[in-house]
Amino acid sequence: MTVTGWLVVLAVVAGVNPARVVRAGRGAGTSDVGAGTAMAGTALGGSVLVLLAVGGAWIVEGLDVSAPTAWVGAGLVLVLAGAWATVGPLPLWEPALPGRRGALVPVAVPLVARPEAGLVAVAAGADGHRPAVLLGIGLCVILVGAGLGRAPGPAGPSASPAAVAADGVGAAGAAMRVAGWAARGAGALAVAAGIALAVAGVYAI
Amino acid sequence: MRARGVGGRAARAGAAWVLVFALVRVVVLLPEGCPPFDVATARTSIDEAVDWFVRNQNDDGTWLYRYDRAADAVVPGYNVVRHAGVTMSLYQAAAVGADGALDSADRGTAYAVDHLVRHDGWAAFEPASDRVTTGASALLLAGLAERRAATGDTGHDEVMADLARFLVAMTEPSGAVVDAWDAASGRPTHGVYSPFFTGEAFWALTLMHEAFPADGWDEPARRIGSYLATERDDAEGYWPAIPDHWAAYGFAVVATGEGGWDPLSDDEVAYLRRQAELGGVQVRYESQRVDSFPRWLLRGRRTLGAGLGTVGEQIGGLWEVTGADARLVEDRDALAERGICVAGMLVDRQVSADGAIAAADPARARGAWFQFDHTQMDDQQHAMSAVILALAMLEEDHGDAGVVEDDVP
Repeated sequence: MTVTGWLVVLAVVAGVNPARVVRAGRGAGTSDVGAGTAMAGTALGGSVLVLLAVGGAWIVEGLDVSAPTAWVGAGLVLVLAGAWATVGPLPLWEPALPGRRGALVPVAVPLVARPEAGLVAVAAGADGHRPAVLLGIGLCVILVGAGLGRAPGPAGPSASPAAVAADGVGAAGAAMRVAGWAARGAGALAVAAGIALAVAGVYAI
Repeated sequence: MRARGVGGRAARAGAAWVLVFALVRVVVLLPEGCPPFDVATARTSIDEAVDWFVRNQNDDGTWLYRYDRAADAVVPGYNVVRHAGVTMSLYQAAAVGADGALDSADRGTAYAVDHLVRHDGWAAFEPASDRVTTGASALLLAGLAERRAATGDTGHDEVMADLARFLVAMTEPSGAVVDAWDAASGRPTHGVYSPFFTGEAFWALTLMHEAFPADGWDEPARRIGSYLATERDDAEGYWPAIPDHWAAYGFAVVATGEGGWDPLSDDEVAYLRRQAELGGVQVRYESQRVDSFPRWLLRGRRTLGAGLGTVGEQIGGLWEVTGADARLVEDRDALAERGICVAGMLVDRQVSADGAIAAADPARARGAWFQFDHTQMDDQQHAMSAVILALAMLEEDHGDAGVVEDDVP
């Protein structure tokens, strides 16, 4: 194996970035973005990544590349995506499907099943790290549930994400700010993990 | 309105997937081309390379050094280190039964033995210059040791000892090996080192110890090996570290030899693993190279036959170590995969009999490796050695036991 399983878990969690889902959910402006919906969406998007990991060896073989080279590609994309998550605008909940269908859009797509996480899953699958991908997705589901289930509830129908964030008044605003910081922190972690993966890929035999 | 917004968001997400995967495929995940390689193609390749040397050997034992296929012209110049390297490589070919290799190598050896510089009880190979390089003598000695092991002929034992004494005289207490002996001043050029000669001297002295285990050649050999593993890159200012195929040859002897060697130190094992990593990325990178646009823009042109050959030699030597040292055994399959990939690329890039028909001088083109229409004798040397080393990997991977051994003369 080119990299350790723990690095794969870190890369999956940082790539999926559950804090970004939490922050989007916190700023949804409706009361129906429950932890269950977000967790279901995370599991749904995560299942796409698990499928990619399961087929990773075939995908990589079909592309005529080696697992170390796949890690280089995944690592570089994770670095770029992580940098964007760190300094760029964080995604909002809207536009979203109503009610529990929000698990599909925006949670599963585009918040969880993202190309950078998909590449990590493919490389991990090709390198024998399918369990690590599964563990990473499981952690993401738990973190999303914890983030949306324990802190103060949604800001309310009248509060737009921008207003909540800008106002900064009240528990909802504070929770959203914390989630934002966590999302940016996860972005920085993705940068670090991506560098580690790319370097490991370069120096693999 | 909402549905359209949601649909657009999903569509953008899908487009991002397609765009990212396409970009990564085009820029990073380029196909790694490892052409098929088996014992038959390896044998043909080795024979063709040997025949190139036989056809292009001069009456005095030297070989055609450099040839320009486009101009059909011999490019002037010669290099004695490469002369010794070719001689050694031909002895390797003789050891796996290639017809004509032993005779051609012996003629190369005769030229070298006729051009020895003698001083202070040692001998060194240098026909013309005041710069008596360590490398030429080291590779000549390695070749003679390979010859002795393959044929049992002890006729060169004295000159082998003379050459080995020169190498020891050029070795500093730290294990660093001086680049050359200056005939004008009668002294080694202390403070001047070659990126290759140190490993060459290391390998040659390990082979000397294998041939003459009671004569104490192991001490200077291990001193040099330790220096290579722990100090050389820092002391001589190499960054990134030098991928050293000669060191790999030497450590393979230490790990697999019968000379009662002490086990490899942890530092040496760590060094060998780093070397394997350097070899691995070079193979993967080279296997992505295609000389047509746009691939060459992203990866550059394909490397020299000598360049790719040395990578194969390095991996071949490291692969041998992994069979003898449990600390490196986990790397064995990956190294075999890379080594066979190198050999496949080399065979694929060698000028075949059919490919030489259209050449202005087929005798100089056939069996050779060209880059930009130029070939140099060390292209054939290193490429042939890499293919020879990969034969053993095939034997293990495909159960072709006996194919190589049965042909040893």
